[in-house]
Amino acid sequence: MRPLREEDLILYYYGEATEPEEIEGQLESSSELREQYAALCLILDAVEEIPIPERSPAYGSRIWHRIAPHIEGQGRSVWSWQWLRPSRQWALAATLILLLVTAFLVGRWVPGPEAPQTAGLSTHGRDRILLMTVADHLERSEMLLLELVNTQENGDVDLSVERQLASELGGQSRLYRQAAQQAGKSDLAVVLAQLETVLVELSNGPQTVLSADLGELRVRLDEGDVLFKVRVLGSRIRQEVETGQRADEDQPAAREI
Amino acid sequence: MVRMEGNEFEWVAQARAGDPEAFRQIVESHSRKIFKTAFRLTGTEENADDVVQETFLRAYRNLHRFDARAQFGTWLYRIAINCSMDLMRKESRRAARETTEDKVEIADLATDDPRPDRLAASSELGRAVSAVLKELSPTERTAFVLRHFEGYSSVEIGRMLGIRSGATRNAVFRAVRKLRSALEPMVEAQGGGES
Repeated sequence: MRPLREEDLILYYYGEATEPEEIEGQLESSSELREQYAALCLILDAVEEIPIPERSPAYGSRIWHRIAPHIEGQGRSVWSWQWLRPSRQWALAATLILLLVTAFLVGRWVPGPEAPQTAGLSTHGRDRILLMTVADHLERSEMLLLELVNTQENGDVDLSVERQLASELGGQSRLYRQAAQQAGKSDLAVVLAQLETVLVELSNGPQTVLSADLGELRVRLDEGDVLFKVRVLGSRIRQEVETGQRADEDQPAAREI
Repeated sequence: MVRMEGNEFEWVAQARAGDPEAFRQIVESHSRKIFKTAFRLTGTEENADDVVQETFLRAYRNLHRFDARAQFGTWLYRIAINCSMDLMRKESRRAARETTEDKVEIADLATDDPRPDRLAASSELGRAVSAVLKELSPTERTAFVLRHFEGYSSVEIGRMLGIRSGATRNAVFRAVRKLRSALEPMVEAQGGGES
């Protein structure tokens, strides 16, 4: 018969002792052990005293009202992806813009008589619209990736919405990249190719991933400086648009002088 | 008040199909029970409320992962425990950087006014217990609460926490030792007053 330890008594108290009969026998034969066990019971019984605040029957309803907006937004907190979700109208507009952008990129970087003209728009005006479209694409992609790398969830993360968006953005990136390559604009094509790789990988990845896998995505983005390049390129394009706009505004004044 | 038992299977199926109204029924039925466990684990009403909300958000996002053959309540309960553990770990890291008021509180309760009639008040003892529980590590506290209050076995707790049952038992032993050393003087004084 081995001497009982405190651990044995704790397991006995909770009904998890492997040999309860042996413990009972020792408790019967030893007053010291009985005192020890009584002291343990006193403490553990006292722990029952922990007061729990009451919650009214309407508590569940209150909780629902707090989480309902997030539920409608697929449980994503802080900001919703709703505005980024594709609609038929958006898809149609995107197709038209895409055609314009492709024509613009070819016309901008391949000099020659084939440079397209867009009816009803000045060359500068058309360029600005198209440049802003590329900048918007970069910004949307950047926001998608930022949201992913900053996800704080533990365990499994549902990426169904992000996958859909990545698929769409990846397709656009491919078209922009091809146009940039044809135009010989290699710096833009390289960044768009990197972005496309990440987006396509994301869109073809699993719908649910472990939060640890998002850490890998973070590392990949860091290694290629993808987010940094996307951000810099987007800023550069926007700057270019603003500079062009200012130049246009200054031109008539110069003529007047 | 909405009754869940008979309709749970249906509500879960509808919620999985994207019906928010069905999920609302689930939320309304389980919130109070989850609050109790969350409060025992996290120690404050604010934290428990946060855990309840986060539990349902996580559950909604992962509804497609729920195995319909399992008990939905048990699945939800496990999510609540994970949420509580996450919150406790966060709190522990923060507490490690700050001076804990709880230690002062326990000391005050044990020495300032040791009259048995004061200690006999269950709210005083309850506060002391809460304070000691807050001093436990997240694993110790969770293992203890699940064992002591919820009645789960070491094997079941081990499965929930992703640790071996031996490690669960050790966590419970450590928790009990800490509770004894903090509460014994108070409980003995209470017993002395009664005799």
